[in-house]
Amino acid sequence: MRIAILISMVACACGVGGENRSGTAAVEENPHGLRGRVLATPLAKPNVALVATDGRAYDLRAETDGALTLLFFGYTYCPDICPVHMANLAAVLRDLRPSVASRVKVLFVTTDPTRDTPERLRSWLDAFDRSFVGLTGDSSQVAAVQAALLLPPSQLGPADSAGNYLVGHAAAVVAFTPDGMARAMYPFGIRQADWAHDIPKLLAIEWES
Amino acid sequence: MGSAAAAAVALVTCAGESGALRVLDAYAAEPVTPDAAAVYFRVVNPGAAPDTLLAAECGIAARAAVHAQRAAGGMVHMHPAGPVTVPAEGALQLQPGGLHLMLEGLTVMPRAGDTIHVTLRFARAGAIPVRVPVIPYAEVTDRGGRS
Repeated sequence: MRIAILISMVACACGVGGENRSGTAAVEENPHGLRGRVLATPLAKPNVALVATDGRAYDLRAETDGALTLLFFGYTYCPDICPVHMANLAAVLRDLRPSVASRVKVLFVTTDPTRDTPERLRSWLDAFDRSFVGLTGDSSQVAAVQAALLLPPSQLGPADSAGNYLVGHAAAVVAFTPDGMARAMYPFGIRQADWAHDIPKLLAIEWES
Repeated sequence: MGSAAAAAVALVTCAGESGALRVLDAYAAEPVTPDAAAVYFRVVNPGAAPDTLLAAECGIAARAAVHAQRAAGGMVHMHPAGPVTVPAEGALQLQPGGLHLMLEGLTVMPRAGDTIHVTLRFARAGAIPVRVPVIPYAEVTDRGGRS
């Protein structure tokens, strides 16, 4: 087995607080009492077809229509940011009322498709929650989704002789409310209590636009 | 007080005065795959001289190395840290999203509730064995994640 040191550039979408350089979305201060970082300008859910771990085409808008959709870009060799987000979401969804939890979809788009085979991605996600959707896409599709969400592009550098290479990804989970708009970002460090607080609100709030 | 007890007290006092490093609050996240497990801890250096964490070993991992993340221009760069300084009269903190000790190539998959054994090698303090409890990823944020 080749063991690669992960040398990563993590594009941190946390702490951007209204700053809008380098493509990060401006955020509002805590409207609706949400603990996530609410986007000042909501962003439409990208119209894209990715590929699910079972090989099916996954039309993002059609498959997640009407659901609170929590989208994350990451990779299975990630030491803490990716598995912590997935573990926290899994724990919160287990504790929420089924009528609430059933309206939430968690999507994980790999930024490391070379190593994250569909089988590996499925197995990794199953360690957290079998309902989590693992997605791959060609690099231009994934880049287009990230650009549409004003996230820094993920980066995958060439492997060196030792098999080490760069993987980069945004550190925040993007939340699309059931109307299909990205409304909030959840940076690394967000706690289960924050998710448990926000998820019912994200489902219930009547958004103006 | 017997002389042995007095000597023991003197040794403890001496160690404190010479600034013995202490490794505190170690924990690891239960790995999802055998490729990698992340270990976190705090090194407290009460001494007047800095020390350096040079290397680490773990009997169930092919390799152990400290990785760092460094914020720059709105990005965080993560990379092998190389030797890491423990400042004099200060502390070195490894935590999720920041510095972590990466165990790679696990020969045994530790589970939450297990304890793994890591040896940290410092330039001045030498080898310090550390017992590392394993916790689920779902408990990592509350244990040590930044908020």
